[in-house]
Amino acid sequence: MSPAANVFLSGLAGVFAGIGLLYLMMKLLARLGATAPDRSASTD
Amino acid sequence: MAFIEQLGVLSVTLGMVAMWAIALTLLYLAIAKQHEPLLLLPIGFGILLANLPLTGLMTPEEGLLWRFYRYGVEWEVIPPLVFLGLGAHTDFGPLLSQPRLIFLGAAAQGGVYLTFFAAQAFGFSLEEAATIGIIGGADGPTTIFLAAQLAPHLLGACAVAAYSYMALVPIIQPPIMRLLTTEQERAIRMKKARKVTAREKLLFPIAATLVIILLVPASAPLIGMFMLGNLFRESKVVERLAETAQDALMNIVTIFLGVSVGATMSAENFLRTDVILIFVLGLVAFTVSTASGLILAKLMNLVSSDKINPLVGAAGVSAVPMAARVVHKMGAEADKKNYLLMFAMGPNLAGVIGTVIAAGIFLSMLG
Repeated sequence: MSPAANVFLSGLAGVFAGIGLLYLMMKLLARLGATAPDRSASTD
Repeated sequence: MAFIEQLGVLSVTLGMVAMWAIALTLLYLAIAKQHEPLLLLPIGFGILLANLPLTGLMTPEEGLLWRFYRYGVEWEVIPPLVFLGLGAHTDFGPLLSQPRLIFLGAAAQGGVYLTFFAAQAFGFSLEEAATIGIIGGADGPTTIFLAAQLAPHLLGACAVAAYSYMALVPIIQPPIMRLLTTEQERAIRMKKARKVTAREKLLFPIAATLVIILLVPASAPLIGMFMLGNLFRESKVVERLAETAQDALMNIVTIFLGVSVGATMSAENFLRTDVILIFVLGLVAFTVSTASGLILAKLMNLVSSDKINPLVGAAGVSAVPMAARVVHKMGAEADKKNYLLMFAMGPNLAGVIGTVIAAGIFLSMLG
């Protein structure tokens, strides 16, 4: 594989891997957030 | 006689005059048309200063503008500080409320990589091609950050191309959006997003820092500062720091960034045929990035019952918040009561993160 093709494929794969992990992390945060008291909803 | 020899006017070259014309055009666009004035004004004036004869402003080790560039841009100080301010400005709520929209920010990096490939085919080195490709991410500080490390001689051209295309988002994107979507698709109303808790917003910058930097360590300067700024904001315990980062500090670094970028654009650096090619390829990158976000949104609709308005995919190019505003306007043209702004902010923010990841990967492979 040429160096350019290597950067092209690794780059795209890396971006989607990073974004995919962030997606999973956000789904996890949503679960944590849903079960935690929301400070923004406080009326004190 | 020595005084006469030192007269600047005797050393003016045709190239310098051409650069003055470019500087004055940017100043006109910034002042009269208000296109990205915060950056185009200092960039334009920086170009003017750098192309005046015998000033020594860009003389290595001595010149004032050279020092701004050397210690601010080349030493990777200013772009991360801009990201600190951006982080303090950013509300990740729209992204956290619709996590699936983050993939639209990844798809929009398609233009970056396709243009990288095209630029390389046109004879640019891999480092130069990466710098040109990142213009498609429509993120000025990231473009400057990458250019300073991979292809400093292209920094001025790539930065001006990136900021120019960002300013032209309302002109460049709508025709592509119309071409790739039907009236019916543009009128799709998306389901109301859920409420995001304060705890999610607080945890996000910490968790995102860990995830992204562990995967792409080279993105640490930008992502680290971006998320630190966001933590200032979301922690709600350091409001002074958050305010300073988003206002005073951001304004200070913007001055030095703009002037430094402009100062790199000397006649011998800028008046070359490959600069025209850079602008053309930058436009291609931007166009493909817009199209890839739209196309992924359409593909996601094939497998999901919860439809996405494909227009929001165009916001994956970053250019925050201009691209999201354009999406909203286009959606409202198809259906007056369709309120897409907050939905478009999700891919818009994802685009910033995606571009930083792409830049980090370029750096780790080519830096």
